[in-house]
Amino acid sequence: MQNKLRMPSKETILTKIKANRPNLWPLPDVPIFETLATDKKKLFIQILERGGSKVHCVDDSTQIHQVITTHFPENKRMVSALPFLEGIEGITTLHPDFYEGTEVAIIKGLIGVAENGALWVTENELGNVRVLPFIAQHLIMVISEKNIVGTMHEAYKKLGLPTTEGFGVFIAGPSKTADIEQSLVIGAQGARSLLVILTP
Amino acid sequence: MDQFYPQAAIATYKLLLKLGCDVEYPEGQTCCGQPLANAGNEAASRGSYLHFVTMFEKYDYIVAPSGSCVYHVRHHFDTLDQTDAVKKVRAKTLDLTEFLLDVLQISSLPAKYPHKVGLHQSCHGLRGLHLATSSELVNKPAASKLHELLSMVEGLTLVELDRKDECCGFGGTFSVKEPDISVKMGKDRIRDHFSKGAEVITAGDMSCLMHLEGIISRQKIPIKVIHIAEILNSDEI
Amino acid sequence: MMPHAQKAAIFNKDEARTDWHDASLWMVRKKRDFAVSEIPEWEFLREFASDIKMHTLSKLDDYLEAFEKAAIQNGAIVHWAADAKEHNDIVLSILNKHQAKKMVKSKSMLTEECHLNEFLELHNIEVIDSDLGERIIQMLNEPPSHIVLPAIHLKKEEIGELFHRELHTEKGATDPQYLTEAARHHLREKFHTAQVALTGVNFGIAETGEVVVCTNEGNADMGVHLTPVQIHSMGIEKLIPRRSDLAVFTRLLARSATGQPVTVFTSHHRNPKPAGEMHIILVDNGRTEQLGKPDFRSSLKCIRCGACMNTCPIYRRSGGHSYETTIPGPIGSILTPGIDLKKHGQLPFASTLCGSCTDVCPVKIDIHTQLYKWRQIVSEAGLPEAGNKTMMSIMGNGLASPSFFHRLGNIGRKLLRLFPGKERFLSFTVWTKDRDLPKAPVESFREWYAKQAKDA
Repeated sequence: MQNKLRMPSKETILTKIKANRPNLWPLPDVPIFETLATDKKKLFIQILERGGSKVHCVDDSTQIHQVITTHFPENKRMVSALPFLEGIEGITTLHPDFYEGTEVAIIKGLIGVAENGALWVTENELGNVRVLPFIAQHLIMVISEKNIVGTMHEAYKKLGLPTTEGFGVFIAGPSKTADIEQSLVIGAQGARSLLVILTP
Repeated sequence: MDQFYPQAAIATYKLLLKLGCDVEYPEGQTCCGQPLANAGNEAASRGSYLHFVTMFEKYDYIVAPSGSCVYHVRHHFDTLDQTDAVKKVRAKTLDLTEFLLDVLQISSLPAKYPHKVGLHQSCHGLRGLHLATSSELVNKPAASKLHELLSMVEGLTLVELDRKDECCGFGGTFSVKEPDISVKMGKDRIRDHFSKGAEVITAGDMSCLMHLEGIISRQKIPIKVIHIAEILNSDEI
Repeated sequence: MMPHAQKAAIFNKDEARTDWHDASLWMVRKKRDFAVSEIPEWEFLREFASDIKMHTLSKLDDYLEAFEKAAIQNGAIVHWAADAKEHNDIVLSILNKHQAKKMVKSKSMLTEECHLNEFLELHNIEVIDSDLGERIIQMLNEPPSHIVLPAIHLKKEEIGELFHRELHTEKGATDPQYLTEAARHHLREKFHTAQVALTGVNFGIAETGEVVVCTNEGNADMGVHLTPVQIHSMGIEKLIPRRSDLAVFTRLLARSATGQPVTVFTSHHRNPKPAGEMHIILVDNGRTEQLGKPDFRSSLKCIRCGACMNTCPIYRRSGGHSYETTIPGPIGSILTPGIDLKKHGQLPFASTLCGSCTDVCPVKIDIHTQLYKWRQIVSEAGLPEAGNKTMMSIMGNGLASPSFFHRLGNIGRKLLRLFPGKERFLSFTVWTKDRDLPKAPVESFREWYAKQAKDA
């Protein structure tokens, strides 16, 4: 019995699309909508707090250490992907399981979005440990207020196209769920809290 | 409406006369064909579409106290050959409230109706004819034609509802295809109006009101229904 | 009575529970209303999103090839699956290649559509749904009742009982915080012991080959970053052309779905981790067929937000299970008749055509118009929901004839005057089970009009 050579699915699918697709529909030029808020930092903080995050503003980076120890007791395991934090465990291995048991992870945010409180990080800011912001019980993100934009349009414009980073994520608060009778529970599978430290 | 709610049609007729219109009721008219078309049988409705066009093509305006019929003529008569007559009829068929505000452009009415009224926004009129801005849309003008007309009526108070534009559950054949949900939706609407103190529920579509009235009557709820045309034509003191 | 109506009748027997279900979903609709009011340009965004999606569909073949090229360049492995069976076979082959017996899966309606779990379990693979709502229904062996809120139909008492049985939580415990904590510990262990992780895809970016996954719990990322092999199952209609287009969609999605300004996590996966593998499976399974239907192809714009379900007064009062489809509610009712007209042709009739779904849809699918158009097709095909075709034809002729129409109307009215409450016709009985018929007046409008014209 001879089996008919089946056309690979890629060809089948593409052929079917060519036959069935509608006539060309123009791609719109989407403007860079900006926020109406005059004070982006204020809106950023407001939305973050509304979503259950905490925000702490510092005058300079030397205060970061102090802020961390104010919020979290020192005897718990902390891991920092920030280059300049002394005395705190840094990224020593790429094995993700090693980071189970991390109480607090401290990472740098690159862009903050005022309209929704989201902060962008790539694996570069995670020391290439992609699981770090998810596996820790608590998350701290440090970002300069200069890097706060108004909307996602501005954020993606600033981001441009990826170069070498193979993973990036917008994080907008502690993990949460409302799957049980629509009751909001903060702290689902990822971090139970998010603290954003805003530097000048 | 001809058979079961003639008072709404009478009120419409009298109101238009009152406002100085030259009004005729073509007695050979039948139906816009909506019930069959919504049930899936556009093909079977063609006869009534053509009959509608024949009956009404000679008039400047065709006014119906029924948002759903008007919606059907303007939107679903697109399956007919678009002759001049068809195009004219489609463009000139208006809901009563549209006619009053957009054509006659009235800003007052000699109407009196001293009651607490709940306004039910019939779906075809609301989302089909845009007689008002539906609650789902953002940053659109809040104007509501029915609201505007009711505000011209002396003594009338509108109650504030929990759900301003939820469907009553009639939906044509839906009312008998899905009777349990249909009735439940009607009950919930009535409860919203009644709990806010409405003495009467009004709307621009008699089908919604017939459905609600059926439930009101069965459950003996002390609330009435009335077509908006009757309120706008009312001189009750 | 059509199947949906039968199920709805059973659902409505417990009126208090129906009210609770209705109120829960209405609350989500209200949260959506508040969230969208914060964006003054909301209606423009909907228009842009609709245009971007329609454009993509009109060039879907080009964009899929561009996406594949970019993804391969990034180091991902791209597969094409014509149907559900092929998709499932591909997933199994990846698992077998790595001798993997345990897979964690985050929310993917596509994999529900393909019945992936059942298939893998038949092949002795342990599949763990890691989204809390999905895990709950997995343990109950039920399908999800909502595409975003899978367990919305369950009360916390029921979940508490389930967790007591399966996770050994305290008997009678119903506090959502406590129950979620138990699930957190239970799932942590799964993340660490699974060998493969699978996610769905919210958006595939043609220009960069990235897959974007939007979640709140962090479960998708926990799965993907802790296992060496990650699989992303993507419906071919999920593509968008440019990375910048994500601005439009991320502003629309969560606000429409849950009322949040954005999901907690918006993850962009571009390449595998060092020593890892990243697979993307592009799935057709009827989408190219739908693409060929001019009246219905725009349903492929759907971004699976569920807003249409939350706003639908029928969905709220009958629940997702009453639709008996993977995707229920208004969008399900225009997607599924194309797959099986006989089985799902009843669904377009489970609607009053109120149009609320069309108004909330972030990508402006004209859902209620498509429901109407499906009804015409169901009727053409002679299926029972549309009523007897011959009867309809007779009615149609009657409605066009003035004499027949008026005679029928007069007879009906006079009968009612003579026999109020003694209706014999089937449809009248259905009406009168819970409703009275209108009172029949003495004279019709026509009679009144003719009389006053004569008097004049």
